[in-house]
Amino acid sequence: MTIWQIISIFLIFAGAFFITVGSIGLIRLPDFYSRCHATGKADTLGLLLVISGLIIYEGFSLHSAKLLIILAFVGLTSPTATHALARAAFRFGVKPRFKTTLRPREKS
Amino acid sequence: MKKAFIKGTIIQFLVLAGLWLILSGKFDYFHVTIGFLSAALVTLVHLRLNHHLYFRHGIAQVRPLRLVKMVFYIPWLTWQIILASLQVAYVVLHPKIPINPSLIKFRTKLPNVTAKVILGNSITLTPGTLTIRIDNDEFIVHALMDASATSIIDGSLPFQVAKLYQRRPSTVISEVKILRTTKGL
Repeated sequence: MTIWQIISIFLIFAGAFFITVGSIGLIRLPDFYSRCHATGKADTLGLLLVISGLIIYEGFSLHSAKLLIILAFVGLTSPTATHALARAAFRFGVKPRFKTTLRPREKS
Repeated sequence: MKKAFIKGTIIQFLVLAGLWLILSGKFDYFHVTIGFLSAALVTLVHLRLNHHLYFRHGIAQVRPLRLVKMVFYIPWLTWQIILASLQVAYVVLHPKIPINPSLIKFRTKLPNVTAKVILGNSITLTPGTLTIRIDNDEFIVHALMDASATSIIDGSLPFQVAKLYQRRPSTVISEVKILRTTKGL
């Protein structure tokens, strides 16, 4: 177990944590736009961390170059996709909820 | 204008050829030749579109991106993504979900479309904000937490984006409004 393997395992676990947080946020947050916050940010960072962990695990090779391209594309497309979702919802007429209109969550 | 068009076409060809080399992973004569030929073919197909973009749409009239600034901008943005995700993690895992959503509406004076794309994506990736709509110069942004705590109100984020294009940008945003209703949108 070299130091690089430990770093890559740490990064992959951190990425898994953020993807999990994004999924929990998708369930817990109250309206569409705040759910977009959870998936747009936490998932982006999670994917970036997992992929950079894999790059470090792989070392300097052609596979790392391919992963680097994936990294760049994820960084570009993930916020764009989130914006596309939010814009489509806004055009369709989904109203964002504010603090005054937020209902307290029903206890089950 | 013509110079920028030729430069853009050559850069496109080189990017495509490099992408082929990395993705194929084979460096013998046969594969490299086929790769360069297909990159040339794609560039040829795109030539008319590029011509339209440069001569009708006028993307060459704006200042080019300052690549040196980009080197500083990307680590800064990465740090902002980490902060944003930690904030989302805090909000989501907090038992009471402490959010206070609002909409921020503002106008920008950014030089071109690419700058607006960079600003829109950066807003989505920085803590607490999400781009909802871009209408010419008018941005509508959803803020998850207290809106005055975001980097849009004090104008630091749009300023960073404008600095990618100009050395000393003037004030880039105006008419900032914080909305808590959806009336009048």
